[in-house]
Amino acid sequence: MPLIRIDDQEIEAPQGETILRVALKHGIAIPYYCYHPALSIVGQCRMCLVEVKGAPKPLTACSTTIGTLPPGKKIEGKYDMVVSTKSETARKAQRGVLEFLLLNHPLDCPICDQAGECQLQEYSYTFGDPASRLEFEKVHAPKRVDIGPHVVFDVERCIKCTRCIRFCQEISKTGELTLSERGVYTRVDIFPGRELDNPYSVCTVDICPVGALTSREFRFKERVWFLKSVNSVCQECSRGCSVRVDAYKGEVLRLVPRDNPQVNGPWMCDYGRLVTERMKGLDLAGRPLLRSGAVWQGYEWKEFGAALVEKMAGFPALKSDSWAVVLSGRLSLEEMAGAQAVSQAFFERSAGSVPDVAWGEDDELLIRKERRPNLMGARLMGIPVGEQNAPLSGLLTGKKAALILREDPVGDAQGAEKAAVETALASMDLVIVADSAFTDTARLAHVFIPLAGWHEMEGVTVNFLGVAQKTARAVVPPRDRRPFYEVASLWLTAAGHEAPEPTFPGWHAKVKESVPGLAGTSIKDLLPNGLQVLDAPAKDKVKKGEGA
Amino acid sequence: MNAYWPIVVPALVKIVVILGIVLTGVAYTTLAERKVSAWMQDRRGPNRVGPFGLLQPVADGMKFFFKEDITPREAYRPLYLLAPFLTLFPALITFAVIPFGTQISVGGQTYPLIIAPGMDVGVIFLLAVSSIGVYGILLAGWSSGNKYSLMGGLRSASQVISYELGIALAVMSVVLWTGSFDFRRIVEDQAGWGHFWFVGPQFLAFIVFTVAVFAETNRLPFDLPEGESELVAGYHTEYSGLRFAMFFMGEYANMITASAFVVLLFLGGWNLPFVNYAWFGPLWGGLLSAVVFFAKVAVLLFVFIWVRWTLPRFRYDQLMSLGWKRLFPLALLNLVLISTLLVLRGHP
Amino acid sequence: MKVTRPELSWWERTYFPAILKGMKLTFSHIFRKRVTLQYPEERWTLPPGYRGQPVLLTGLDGHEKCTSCKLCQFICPPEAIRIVAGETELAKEKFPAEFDIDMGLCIFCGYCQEVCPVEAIWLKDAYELADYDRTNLIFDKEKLLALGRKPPYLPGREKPLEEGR
Repeated sequence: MPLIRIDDQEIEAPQGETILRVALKHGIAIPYYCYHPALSIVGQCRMCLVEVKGAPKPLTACSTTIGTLPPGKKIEGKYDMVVSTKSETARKAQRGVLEFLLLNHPLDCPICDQAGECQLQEYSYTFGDPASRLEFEKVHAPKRVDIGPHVVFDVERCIKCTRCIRFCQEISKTGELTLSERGVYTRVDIFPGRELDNPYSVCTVDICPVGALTSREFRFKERVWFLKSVNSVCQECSRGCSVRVDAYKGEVLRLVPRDNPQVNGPWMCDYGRLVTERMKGLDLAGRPLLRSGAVWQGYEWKEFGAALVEKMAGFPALKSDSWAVVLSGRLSLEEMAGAQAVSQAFFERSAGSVPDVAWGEDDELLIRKERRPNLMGARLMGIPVGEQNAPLSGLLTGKKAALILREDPVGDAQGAEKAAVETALASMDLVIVADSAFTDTARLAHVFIPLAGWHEMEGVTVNFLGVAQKTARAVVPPRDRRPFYEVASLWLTAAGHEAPEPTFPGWHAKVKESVPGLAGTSIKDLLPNGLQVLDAPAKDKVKKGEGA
Repeated sequence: MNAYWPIVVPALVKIVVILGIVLTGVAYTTLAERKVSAWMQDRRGPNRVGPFGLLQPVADGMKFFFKEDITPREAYRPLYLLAPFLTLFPALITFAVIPFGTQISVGGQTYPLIIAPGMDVGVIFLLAVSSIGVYGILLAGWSSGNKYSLMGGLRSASQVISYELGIALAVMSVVLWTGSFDFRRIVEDQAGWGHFWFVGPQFLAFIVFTVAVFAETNRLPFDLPEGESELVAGYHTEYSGLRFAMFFMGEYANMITASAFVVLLFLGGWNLPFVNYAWFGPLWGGLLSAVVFFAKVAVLLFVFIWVRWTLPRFRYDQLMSLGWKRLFPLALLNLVLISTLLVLRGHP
Repeated sequence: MKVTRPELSWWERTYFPAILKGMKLTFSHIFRKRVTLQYPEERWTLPPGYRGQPVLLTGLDGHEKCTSCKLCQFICPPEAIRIVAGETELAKEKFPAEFDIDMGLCIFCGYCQEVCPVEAIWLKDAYELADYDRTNLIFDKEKLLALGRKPPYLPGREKPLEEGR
C-alpha cells in the first residue's frame, strides 16, 4: 500500500482512495462542502484545497486519489504523496475560496435557520477573513423560492455545492434539480413544471451545508441552539430509521436522520419527519379514566391500579377466551412484555395478536409498506402477527371483553368494517383501551389508559431487518402519560401479583429472557446504532454512507 | 381592706409604669438606631411615618403583627415556639430589681422607685436572669432545623460563657468595694462628698464590664450569633412575624438592661454631682432622680448605637481571644488590685 | 505578596486610639449635610445612556425592526424575553409574532440592546415599573412598541440610539 504523509502524520492508505477520505478517517480536519460520503464526488466547492508536493497548484482533496510512485522516485525516499493541509499555500487557498463563497452571501444569519449548525459560519471562524473586501453592491437573487411542498429555497445563500442536485439524481433518483445560468449568476434551479416533491425531499435540507434549503415545517420555529436533542428511532414504518429528535420546551420540533449504515444510511423519508405535524392534531389524554354510563371519572395514577382491579373484580366470569387482546406493532418490546404479563395474570390467556397494518408499497430506498415499527419484535416475543391488513372485526366479534393497546380499530376502519367493530365493542361487558391519544375507539371503552408517545418514553423496537434500537425520552409528557410497562407494573402490584420495577430497565431485563438475540447484552449495546438480534437478516438495498 | 393592698397596688402601678417605659424605650431605641445610623451615613433615616418618622415603631409593630408566622418543616416545634419567649421575658423580668430613682412620698407613704424593694441581692438576680436569655437563642438555633441557625445558637452560647466571666469579675470588684449586692447601697456609695462614681476608682472594671456587656447583648462588634455575612441571620433566620419581633425586642430590652446595669454600677445611678434630691421635696425629688437615671441610660444607649455603626464585626477567633486572653486576666488583675487596696485601707 | 505591617506601640495595640478615632469620625458625620434624595418628590437627573426598561423600536417602514433572531432571548441572563417567530411578507421575512418581556424578571443589564444585530431593542430611561399584579409586568409586543420611539427620527439620524444624546 502507498505510504503517504498528511501534515506530520504518516499513513498507509489504499491505492485509489481520495486524500479527503483518508484524512477524515485519521482525524485530520480538511474543510469541505460538496463532498458527501453517500454521494458522488464532483470537486465543486473547492473548499478542500490542499497543497500536494510536486503539484503546480493546490488540489482538491476530495477528488485527488492516492497512487504509487516507482521505488526510485519516492518523495524523501519513502513517501508516495506528501500532503499539507496547513501550509501557507493551503491556508491561502482555503481563505481565498471562502472569500469567494461569502462574496455575495447575504449574511442574514439572524433570520437564517441554519445559523448555529452552518458550515459556512464554522469555516468562516476557522479559516476565513474577518472582513469582506467587496466594495460594490452584492449580487442579489430571489429569496423564499418555493421549490417543493416541504422545502424553501434561498438562492442568495446557496454556495452551489450541488449536494442537493446529486441527491435527487443518485439517491431519490427523481432528478428535479439542476444548475442553471453561468458565472456569478449560477443557481440551483428546478426543471420547469417540476416540484421538489419526492418522498425524501427534506434530506436535501439536511445535506445543504448552508441555509439555502430550509424545511417549511421547521422554518423559523426555533433557533437551533435552543434545541434539546436525544437519539431515538422513527416509529412510522417497519424500517425504524435512526433519528435525532430535537425538542424545545416540551414540543418536538423536528426529526433529523442519524447516520446508521445498518438501517437507513444518512437518509430518512418525509413521511417520518412529518410526524411532528401529525402530533399536533392529537387529542392528548391527561389521566386514567373509568367510565360508568356516560360519565368519565378521572383518577390519579397512584389510585388507578386499585380502581382497575376493583373494576375487573366486577366481571369474574370474564376469563381466557372471552377476552380479545389486541396488541400493536407500535408497542415497544417492554410494553409487549407488560401486556403478556397482564394477559396471563388477569385474563388467564396468552397475549393476543398484533395486526399488520400496511399501505403503499416498499420503495427502492427506505420506505416499507408495513406501518408498524415493531412487528419483528412481536414475532421475537412469540406474539403472533396477523395477516396483512386483516380486518380487526374478526378478532373482536363474539368476545365479551377486549384489551386494545395503541390501536384504533374504529378510527382506522371505514364503512362496513367500522360498523362491525363498533357493534362488537358496544356489545362487550368491558373494553380497556390504552393509547397516547383519546381515539374513536377510546370513546367506546369502559377504561381508558393514557400512554406516553414514543418520543416521551424509553423502549426497544426491532425493525424488519432484525436491528433492535432504543427510543429515548425527548420531552417530558405534557400531562402525566406513562408507558404501558409502567401501567402493567402498577396494575399487577395492585392485584398482589409480582411485577418488575415500573421502569424501562426493569422490564427490559424481562424482555431479555424471552428474546434470544438480546440475551447477554446490555442497554448500552443498543446505542447508538442498534444491535442485530436476528440470525439471518433480510437483504436490503440502502446505499450505505460512512458519516456525513 | 386587705393588709396586702398597700403593698400590691404600688407594686402593680410600678410594674405597669416600668413596663410601659421599657417597651416604649425598646420601640424608640429601634427608631433611634435607624435614625442615628442614617445620620452617621449622611442619610435622613425614616421620616415618612408621622412627624420626623416618630410613628415608625408603630408601623413596624403593625407590620410584625400582620406578617405570617412560619414554622419550618424541619423545626422542632415545641422549642421553636418557646424560644422567643425565653429571650424576651428574662430581659423584661430584670427590671424588677433595677432601682430607677430614690423614692417618692405621696400622702405620707414612701414608695421606693423599684419594683422589688426588698431584694438585697439584686446584682446576683440580674446576672442570673439575664443569663437565661441565652437559652432562648440557643434553643431557637437548635430547634430551627437549619445549620445557620444552629451555628448562630452555638456561637451565642460560647460567647456568653466567655464574657460572663469578665462581667462577673468586674461586678465582683464593685461588690467588694461597697460590701453589698444591693443596687441601692451601690448607688448610695457613689453619692455625696468624698465619694466618686465608680467609673473613676474602678476604671479597669468599667472597661472590662462595658466591653463584655456589648458581647453579652450580641451587639456589634460582637454580633457573631447573627453574623449576616456568614450565617444569613443566625439564630433567628427562620423566624418571622411576631416571634421575630420578640427576638428583636429582647435584644433591645437587653440593651436597656445592660445600660441600666452600667449606670448603676459605674455611673452613679441617678446621682448627679453637687445635687441633693431632698432639695426638691419628697415627690419632685424622686421624679427628678428617675428622669436623671433614664437620661443616663439613654446616653449609654446612644453609645451602644454609636459603637455599632463605627466598628466592624470581629472575627470569631478574635472574639474568643479577646474574651479569654485579655478581658478575663484584666478582670482578675483588677479584682486582685481592688482587694489589695481594700485590705490596705482596712475596710471592714 | 508580602505585606509590611506597621509596628504598633503598646497603646495602639489596645485598639483604643483607633476606636476613639473611628467614633469621632462617625459622630462628626451626624452634623454633615444629608445626601438623601427625597424620592418621589425630588428626582434624579438621569445620565445619558441610562439603562431603564427595554422597549422595541419601529423602523422607517413603520414596522417593528425586530427580525426575531432571538439573540436577546439567548443572551438574557434572567430569561425575561419570550419570542415566537413568524413569517411575514416584508423583505425581512421573519418577524416576532409574539414578543414578551417580563419586566418583573428584567434586570436592566442591557445585553439585549448590545447583542441586537438590527438595533431593534433599546433600554429607555423609564424605571418606575411597579405594579400590584405580576401579570401586568409582562409587556407584550404592542406595549413595547408603543413605549419605543417611532419615526420620523431627527433629520439625518436613522438610528434612534443617538437621538437626544
